[in-house]
Amino acid sequence: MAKLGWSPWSDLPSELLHVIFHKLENPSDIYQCGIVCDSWKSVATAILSYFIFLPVNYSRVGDCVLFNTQTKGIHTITLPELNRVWVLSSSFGWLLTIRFNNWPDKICLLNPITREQIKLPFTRIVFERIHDLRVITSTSPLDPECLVIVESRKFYSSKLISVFYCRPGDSDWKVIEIDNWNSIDVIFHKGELYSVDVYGKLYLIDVFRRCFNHIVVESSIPQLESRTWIVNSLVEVEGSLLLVAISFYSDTHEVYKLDWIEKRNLEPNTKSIQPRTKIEPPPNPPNSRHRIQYRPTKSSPSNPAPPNQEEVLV
Amino acid sequence: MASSSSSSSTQVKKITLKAADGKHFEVEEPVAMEMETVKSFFVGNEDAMKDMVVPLLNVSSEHMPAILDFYRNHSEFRKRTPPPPAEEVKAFNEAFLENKSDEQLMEMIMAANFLNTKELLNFLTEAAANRIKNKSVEYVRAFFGIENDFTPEEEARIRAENEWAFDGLDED
Repeated sequence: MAKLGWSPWSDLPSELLHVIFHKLENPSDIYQCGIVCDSWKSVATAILSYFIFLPVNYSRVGDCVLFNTQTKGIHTITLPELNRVWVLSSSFGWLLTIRFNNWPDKICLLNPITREQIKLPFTRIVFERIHDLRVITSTSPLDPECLVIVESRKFYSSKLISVFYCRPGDSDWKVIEIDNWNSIDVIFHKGELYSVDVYGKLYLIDVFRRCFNHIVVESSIPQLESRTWIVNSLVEVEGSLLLVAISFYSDTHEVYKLDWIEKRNLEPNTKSIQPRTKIEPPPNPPNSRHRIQYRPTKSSPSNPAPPNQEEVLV
Repeated sequence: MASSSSSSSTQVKKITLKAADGKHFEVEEPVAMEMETVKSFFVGNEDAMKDMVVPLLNVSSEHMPAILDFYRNHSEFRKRTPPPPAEEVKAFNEAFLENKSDEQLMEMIMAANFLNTKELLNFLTEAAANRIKNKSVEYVRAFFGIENDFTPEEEARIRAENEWAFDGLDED
């Protein structure tokens, strides 16, 4: 055989590796390629960050659905760990799973790519509105300092506790009890925990003292002030904190960039998205991975629609 | 292309390509122009076409016949009306890959990348992905001829994070 004087793959441009890895489709295969050598690991890691989880809620057969924001492909991973559990939401690629078979309920974080599981304390808390539970973590749960927050949203019910937290290895969940606090969403942003209420008041929360640190900002978004719109969620995309507001009347969304770091003010209306359509994901989602979330439309919260009928908030 | 009045008769113009190991290949112009690298060689230089030999530094003569065959067939598929049945294209593609070793496939991917032809590169990278799907790390390393540059400790750690991946692999 005519031999050329080079060894093909040692000099392979990483773009070609990207092309081949994308064609593997299955995130497990891509992860496997990450063990081959160091340069492959970086390509595999980069590609895996394009996958986001789609909600499954209750999984009878053990499926977990991933969406590749680059290729727009959908890939299903079937895992025995997911059999007959509630899969609620994800943070840093880890899924919050709850198994109700035996009291107390078994709560875990599961990484469906590596199949690692981290047991969280059993809960004696009865989570309400199970389909609305959401997990956020301060870092990857592999970090022993990681703080796990489970938020249970209760629309329009003030003075109700809605945030539970623990660290992996703790014996029980703790509850943040604050009077007159109607958090609609919480998020870790640059290492701090923030909460927002329906009217756009943004709070910085001191988890360990279980209190508000201070009110960071009150929104100056006219629609929120007129109470024709309410805040839906906080989202982090590429290092920026975004506030998603929904209209009471027209079923539309607007996304506001919270530029409080520099200005301590809200920059209104940076982007507008329509519900029931997928908005274009940012070209480089890795930073926002743990905050990309998928929620059923508000009209059918307990009955998740197929992916194309839900909105992706990125 | 060159609209010279000089009668080159009905015969298709040929372009000479030189593989990395020095072998010459006479190729019909439309086929040669499937390769962006060859095409760009002639941009603004149409007159030179007659005698110019295009050097293809990264393509072994071993792979030239197969690559040219791919271009000929696929450009014919594209032109045909009605389009050829999917089975026919699939049969050609499967025959193309038959008896190609992993190493040959890798070399052809490098060639297709150098020649800058999307269709061929897309086809070959897909084939490479199919060959490493659901395979062990050792197999993939051997397939790509890649040296493991992790220290034993690093690899043990990565594998420990990754135990699941060693279940349910295909037989190599």
